[in-house]
Amino acid sequence: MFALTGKGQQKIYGRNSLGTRKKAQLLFYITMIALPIAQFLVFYLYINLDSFTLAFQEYSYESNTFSWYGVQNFRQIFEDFGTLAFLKHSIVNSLVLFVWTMIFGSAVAILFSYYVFKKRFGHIIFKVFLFLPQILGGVVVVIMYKYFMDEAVPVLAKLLGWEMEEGLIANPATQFASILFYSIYTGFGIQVLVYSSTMSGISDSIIESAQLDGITPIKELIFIVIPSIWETFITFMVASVVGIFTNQMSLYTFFGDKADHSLYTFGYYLYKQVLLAGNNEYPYLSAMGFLLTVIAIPLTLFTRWALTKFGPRSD
Amino acid sequence: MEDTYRKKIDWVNIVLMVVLIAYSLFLVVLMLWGVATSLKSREEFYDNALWFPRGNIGSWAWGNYSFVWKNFAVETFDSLGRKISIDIYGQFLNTLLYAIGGAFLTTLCCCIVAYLSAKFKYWFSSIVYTIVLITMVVPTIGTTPAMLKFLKLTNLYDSWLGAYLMKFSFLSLYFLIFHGIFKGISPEYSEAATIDGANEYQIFFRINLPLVTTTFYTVFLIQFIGYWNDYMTALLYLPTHPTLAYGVYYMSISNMNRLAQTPMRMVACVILALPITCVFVIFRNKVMGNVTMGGIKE
Repeated sequence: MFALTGKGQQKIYGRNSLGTRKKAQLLFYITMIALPIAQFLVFYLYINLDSFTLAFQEYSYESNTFSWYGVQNFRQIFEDFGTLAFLKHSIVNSLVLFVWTMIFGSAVAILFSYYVFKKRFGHIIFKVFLFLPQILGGVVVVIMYKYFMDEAVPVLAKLLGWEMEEGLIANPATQFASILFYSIYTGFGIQVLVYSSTMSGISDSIIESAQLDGITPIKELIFIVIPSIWETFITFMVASVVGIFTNQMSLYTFFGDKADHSLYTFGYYLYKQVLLAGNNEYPYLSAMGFLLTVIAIPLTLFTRWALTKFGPRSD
Repeated sequence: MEDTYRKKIDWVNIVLMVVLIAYSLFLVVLMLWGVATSLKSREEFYDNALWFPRGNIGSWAWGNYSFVWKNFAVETFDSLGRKISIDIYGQFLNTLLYAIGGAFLTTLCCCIVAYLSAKFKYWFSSIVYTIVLITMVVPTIGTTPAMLKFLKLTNLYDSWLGAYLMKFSFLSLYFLIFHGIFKGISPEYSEAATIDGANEYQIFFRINLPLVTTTFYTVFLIQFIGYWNDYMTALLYLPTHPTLAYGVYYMSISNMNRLAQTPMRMVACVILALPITCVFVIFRNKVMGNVTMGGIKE
């Protein structure tokens, strides 16, 4: 089917063997794709559909079944948004995290990538260090960071003549900022890896001719490099938008299920609740997920559209 | 004109270099502090939380490592409500099963479906490709309750089969990477094999798969590292099969007498980080190869 077409194929295989080969190819295709498609149908399609129906159901302890509940779960959610402080905190914190990671995190990641791409002093070792938090993993880095901030920093501050009663994570006044810093600090690795690799695809002749025309590094970054990585940038931006509703800010690793309400994000709230909840809370959480999906879909599509429409072009 | 370029680049370079040095230094300090703390007794840690352990190397608290190795266990309950304890060997085994099995299945699934989608011009191939693109752009949030409900209903919850089935998915960026590479492979290889009498399975496993071996290993390694450090999936879907990352997290929040001390927690962190750091050092070039959205440069 893909090897040759028309007369050439007939010449090699003959009319009968061509039919046999097509059948063999079809058989191969079906046998190889059957399991992945079955997995997709069950673990993606069915799960999403069931999540949707679960949002309109309630759980009965007596019969151990889920039954129709109308829009009561959604009504409850809207009431809770008005009354439960941690849900309000979730909105604010998720947006703050998004803005910082999107504006500050992405800008710095692009600058770091540019440095690596230009092969400046120490670029190889810096690239490794930027990627190291991903290798060591969230649990290890969070635990070390948490105890360093709480146990070592106060001692260090004392040595510098500054009295600190509590560590930066333990102190409610500095807790959120410290965790936000951690999120940004450890978030560069993948971005730098992908951006710098994408930048390496820029033709040397373009860079050289621009330099001959007297381009400055900043202009080179803005007018040559950024347009070249714009598609990749859009992908990261779309992921950041989805992250508004899924990013936990590593709160579960920092505090388990005992994070202060003032720190909550949607991602943390949903993960923690699912872990602690029984069947009775599944419909409410599914309704919450559905509601956030309804907000997230147009937001991601708009982000993609806007960045594509108004962003720079690589040509 | 090049002089202007060089003059201007200096301050940009210097600022970035200073920031990157500060970034790296902080990470180095953090790691050294963690390792140094793991080699202190509790008493010394309270007295000397900041610096390296006192005395010569031989007098450092190396015993912390053997203590954690012997006593570190995750306690949980099985489906019958019986209390079970999984020691560090069990956690290692679970980590290997989860990280190797999960990474292999994810990589294999993406590779197979990408091959079929790229090389067989059936209408269904276009549908598969479109599905991947749509699922990458359109997010679905909060489907975990439905997943848990389904797994419990089908007895796949807390089982390796359930975990592996969840990982055998092609909905990933890696599908696109493999797709791009298979598209670029000339059909002449397959044609020649067909003339030599190879069937479709042989063409895939003996001709095309070896051509993407580098990418396969790279994707596998990236996934392996991710799964090695992933404790959240095990916490949710494999509660009686704790991985080492799960164990370290468990130790960090639980109050298990001596194991709850900061030096012991740092020991657990070092035990978790050491193997994966070795893997990274050995395969650094593969893991940090030129990964782009359009493909991995071979």
